[in-house]
Amino acid sequence: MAKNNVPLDELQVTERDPRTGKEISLPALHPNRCEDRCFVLYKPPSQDGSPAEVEEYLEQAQFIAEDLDWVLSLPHDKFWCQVVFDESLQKCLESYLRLAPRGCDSDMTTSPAVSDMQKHLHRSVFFTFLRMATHKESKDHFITPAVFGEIIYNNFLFDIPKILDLCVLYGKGNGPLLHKMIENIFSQQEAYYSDLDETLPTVLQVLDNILKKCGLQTDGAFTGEPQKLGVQGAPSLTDISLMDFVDVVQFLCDTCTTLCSFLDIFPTACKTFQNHKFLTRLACFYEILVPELETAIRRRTSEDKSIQEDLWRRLCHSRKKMIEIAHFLINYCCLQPILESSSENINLFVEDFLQIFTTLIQEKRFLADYDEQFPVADDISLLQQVSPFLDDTRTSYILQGVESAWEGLGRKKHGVPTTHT
Amino acid sequence: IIIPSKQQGTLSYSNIVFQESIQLIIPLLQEVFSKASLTWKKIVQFINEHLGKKEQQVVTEELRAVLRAAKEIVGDEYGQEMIESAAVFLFKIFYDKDQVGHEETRAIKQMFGPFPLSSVDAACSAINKVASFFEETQIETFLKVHSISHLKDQVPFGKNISFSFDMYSVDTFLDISLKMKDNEDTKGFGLDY
Repeated sequence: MAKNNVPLDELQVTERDPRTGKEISLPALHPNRCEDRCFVLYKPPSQDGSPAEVEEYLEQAQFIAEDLDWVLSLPHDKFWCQVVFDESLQKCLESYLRLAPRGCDSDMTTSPAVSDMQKHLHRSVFFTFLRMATHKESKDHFITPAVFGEIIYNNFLFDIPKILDLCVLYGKGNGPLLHKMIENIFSQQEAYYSDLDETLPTVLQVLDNILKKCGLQTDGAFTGEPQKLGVQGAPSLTDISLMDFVDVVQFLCDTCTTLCSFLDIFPTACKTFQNHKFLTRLACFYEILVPELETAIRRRTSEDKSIQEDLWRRLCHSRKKMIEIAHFLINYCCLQPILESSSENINLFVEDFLQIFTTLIQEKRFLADYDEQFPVADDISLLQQVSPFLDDTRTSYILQGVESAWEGLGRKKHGVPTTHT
Repeated sequence: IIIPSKQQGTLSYSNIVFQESIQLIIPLLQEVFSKASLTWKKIVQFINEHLGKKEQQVVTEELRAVLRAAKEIVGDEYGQEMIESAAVFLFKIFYDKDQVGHEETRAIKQMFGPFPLSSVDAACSAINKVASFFEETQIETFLKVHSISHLKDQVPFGKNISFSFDMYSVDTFLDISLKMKDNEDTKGFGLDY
């Protein structure tokens, strides 16, 4: 146990050697102090599972629940020995994050026993991660912050995919706690920022892959590179099987919800996203994909009506999330700094804002949908208030672009547009 | 000192010899119960969460019967907390039993000493009626989940931190205009075509 304010990473403990029976001194954080306990991997409950499947799930989940409750009851030093040196614990936690049912998954009709067990696991997994993200548990139980950063990074206790999963699983109900967790992880270990930076091309690749699956894009076209002649495109959205189509829409829905929850919980990441021009890419992705998916869903008349409605709801949800992502990026990278900055810095952010919207003008569908949720005129009005020398030509150009986006789609604006003087 | 029959069972549970002061024994039994993670309140809450209003009314009567039986077994000198703990004990014993068997009798006797058999029968019957509203594994899982940390000395991390089970779900779009009202404005968006 840590005493006299000695951090865990410097603490020595005396224990009896099980082989020799002699007392030995060893670091508190030592593999020999890790209990021999094999954590099983999580398997999600199956939908409408047979009694045997339910029993199998309950048995396996019970093992995990008991083991995690045991881990959470361990004293500080023993907890850290277990999380650092027990690989099976990490694999178990990872399997839960990867496979646990998301809120956006199809409604599962599970028995109350399964539902209760799932809730228990859900809570225990969260608190295990919360404890792993806490370097100071109490006055006497803590780890030197720099060493904590090394421990969580070098032992892969957290990585970017895990953080994304944590956000989508727990962000809605436990946002403030999750925000503290992730902020602490990034502030104690700056290498996570580099990891996030390196992950962004993969995230963009995910968007590209969705387009490819929909037969809307081949390699490189999304990034503006020339397409190879003679390359056979993927089958179009109306040609692919219903199962593949549902997969695409569900994947889109999951991707958008995950990214949106991450930026909501950890807005600092917006900057890294924008370093990769994420907003422009997202708008382009939206512009290509959304109308095509809408048409494809409408055309799939032969299928079950409830499936069709579910696909529509998921597409609408994805649209909303993409628009929210865009708003998070604009808000964090431009609007918030404008409101907080001293006058000499404001022009930089105003310029960024104008640049972004000048680029977005060509993405008419995206722009109209964005404007419907977050009126561009309101933001421009803000810019006019803080930056009196704002170039009216540029702002008018953007506002006209927005109007033209609405008109181009044959849509009318709802509500009275904000007037600016 | 004459030890009431109801407290003799405590002696066997605690391994304290008969002659030792009764003053030591009552707090001991209370301590055993206080460390248990499952409380009567949690049982009632679990039952109410999983049943409809009509069923709740029926079950409430049965739960009262269990508490009455627990009071008769324990005696009313120890207060409500002790009675509720005894009710939990009875609930755990009888939720999957149709009748009072030898094993159950022995367990109750060991915990509380001699007891009125009619009270135990009443408790068993009431608990059975409550259990009949649930699936076989449902109560078992609930009890398992709440017995995991039973008698552990260490307070589990996060015990006092509130947690929400709320998750992101696919919005129904009643509150946002991105919904299918597009089809009011444009070329037949939506599913009604």
